[in-house]
Amino acid sequence: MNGIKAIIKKEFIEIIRDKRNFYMVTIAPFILLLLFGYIISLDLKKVETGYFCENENKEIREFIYSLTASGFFINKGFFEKERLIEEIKRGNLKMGIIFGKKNREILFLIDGSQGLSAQKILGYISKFSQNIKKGNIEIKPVYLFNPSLETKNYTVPGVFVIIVIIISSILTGISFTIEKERKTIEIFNISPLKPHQVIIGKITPYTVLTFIDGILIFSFAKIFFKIPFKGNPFLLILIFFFYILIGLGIGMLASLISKTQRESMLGTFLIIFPFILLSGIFFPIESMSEFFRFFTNYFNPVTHFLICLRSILLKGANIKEIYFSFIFLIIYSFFIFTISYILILKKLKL
Amino acid sequence: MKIKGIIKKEFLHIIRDERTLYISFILPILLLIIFGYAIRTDLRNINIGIIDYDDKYLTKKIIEEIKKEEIFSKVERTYEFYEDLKSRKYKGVLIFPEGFTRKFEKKEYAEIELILDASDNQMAENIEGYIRQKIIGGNKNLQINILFNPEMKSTYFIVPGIIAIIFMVISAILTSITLTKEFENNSIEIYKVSKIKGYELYIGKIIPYIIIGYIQLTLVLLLGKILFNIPLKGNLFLLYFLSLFFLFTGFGIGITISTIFKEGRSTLMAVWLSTLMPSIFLSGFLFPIENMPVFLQLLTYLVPARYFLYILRGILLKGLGFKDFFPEFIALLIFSLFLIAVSSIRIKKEIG
Repeated sequence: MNGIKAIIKKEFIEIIRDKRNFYMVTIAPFILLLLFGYIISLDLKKVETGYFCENENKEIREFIYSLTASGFFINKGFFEKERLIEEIKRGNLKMGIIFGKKNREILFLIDGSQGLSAQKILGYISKFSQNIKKGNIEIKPVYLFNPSLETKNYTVPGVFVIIVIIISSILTGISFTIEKERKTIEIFNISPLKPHQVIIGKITPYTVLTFIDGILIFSFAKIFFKIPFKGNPFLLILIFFFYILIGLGIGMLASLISKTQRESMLGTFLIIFPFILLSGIFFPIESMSEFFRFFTNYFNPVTHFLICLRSILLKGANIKEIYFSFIFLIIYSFFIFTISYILILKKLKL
Repeated sequence: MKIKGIIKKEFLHIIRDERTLYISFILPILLLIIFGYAIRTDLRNINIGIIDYDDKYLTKKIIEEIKKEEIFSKVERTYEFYEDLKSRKYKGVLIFPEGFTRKFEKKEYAEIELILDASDNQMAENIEGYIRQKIIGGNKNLQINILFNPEMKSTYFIVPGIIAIIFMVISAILTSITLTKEFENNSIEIYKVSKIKGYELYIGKIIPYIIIGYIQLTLVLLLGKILFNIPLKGNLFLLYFLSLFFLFTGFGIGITISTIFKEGRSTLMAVWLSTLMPSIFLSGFLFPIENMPVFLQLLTYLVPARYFLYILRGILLKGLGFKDFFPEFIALLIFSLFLIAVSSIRIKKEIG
């Protein structure tokens, strides 16, 4: 026990001494949170729209008026036909509307080179076109769990998930490779400390650090972005703990194949980058191709922590409703942690 | 020719270190495949639940219509919505109230309730759009024409983004790695005592990466063409020519930062934050610039990838010519000249 304590103390001293660690756990996450929280908002605020018609009349003016009044579109005025297409080409207009003869046909031209916006604009048009059509079926949407459709409720948990895995894995990876780089790993070989004491002593500080950091970032997100918290905090903390273990495991694995801090950073990044990219934060899992959907559902811890986090925060889910993700995270953390533990143990024993 | 010697040495380093090889050749293909096959922004495989309290011919007809919609993989009857949405069984539940058909026949206001899991608000809104379209139908008078990418394939706008990311990785990250290695191994001292001049080192260091950059550009364009049928509407030579300026901004950033930190980990962090992250998140690659708050929008003007991406998309998808992106070209020119100047001054300072 004393051996573990000593290593923990040493590791904490190193964390505090190295300024780069300080930046990494304090300033970097907050900047990331702010940046991502604002960047990943996919609601288009305004669609710059230009028009072309052969002869302007009252009907067209009314149409344009109701279009602008719907709040999705910004009126950029009338253009010549060629000029209109030219402006869309250059990206100055997001959409062009061409009124045909007798206003029978209205042609919408949308810039499709930025797929995400095009899809969004399409949605706006269909919403708008519902308003002008008279029919007696009406659909009344109810937005459960996020009634005001706020994007931040969706993105901020995603950012949190990314930050935690980056910090926990990269810091752990570095802390192991730094010993290799400075050759201090040899000292462990001749010291009376047992290998398991070294490993436990080394990872405990990072577990604690990531844990505290996670709570800090979370409180910041809560205060700054006012994310709802409907579920059980203890359940979340429990799951969070397993998620940190996965991060530590990934970092340890990366440190096994790296000799320098730089290599371990790159290695960690290469492992977690696909996890993050395919986690459902940026793109819906349902839309992925079969193979990647399988990968995401059965191999990606980031996805499952995200599911747990969102369900607990926004839906107030209990363990029954997220049982698959919950069990997945436990098994996954157990696996990855044991494997990396055994591999490192082997290395230390040599 | 001392430059030749350095180029040779640099190539040896690249070939010897499998990680560099991995980054320069496997990573682009991996990115292309992940982004191309995994990432689709169009909706698919959505499960929808239906609660039908009315159960008449009209509701059955509507349900049949919805089943035909390709984006839904399961459309099935259920009895309860709250738990199903909470446990992610369905993304949305349609509720037909009793008397729906009667109201419709009497030409009264007939209402269908659509309960959506809005914890993913984007998806909720998109599903709503699809269902509205299906049930109420579009306005026949409205025609929609999507320019430059009629099928709204996400690969069309993702491939240019991948090119920009790969270029930044090659130019900034790889050069900074080789330079910090020289600092860490103290082999930089050798340059100081040798007769190699700053510019010779500079040119010798970057030429291998220019070559790799061009090989990759060709590779990604070819794969994009073969796998995803990406169009090339504009001038290919113009694309290759303008790429050079983007590469040079990357070299400038990578070299400048590595001469500041002279140590692997901090350099990598700094290069990462200043090139890769902005190229992904602030260039308009995935997230439209118009959506960002004003201060971030202003920040995007400092991101070279923003201009490069505009040029890439312009040439590939829209067939724009040189005069169309003259301002973007000037911006890249200024960036690259400025960064080349700064980085060569720093290199000169280091090795005298």
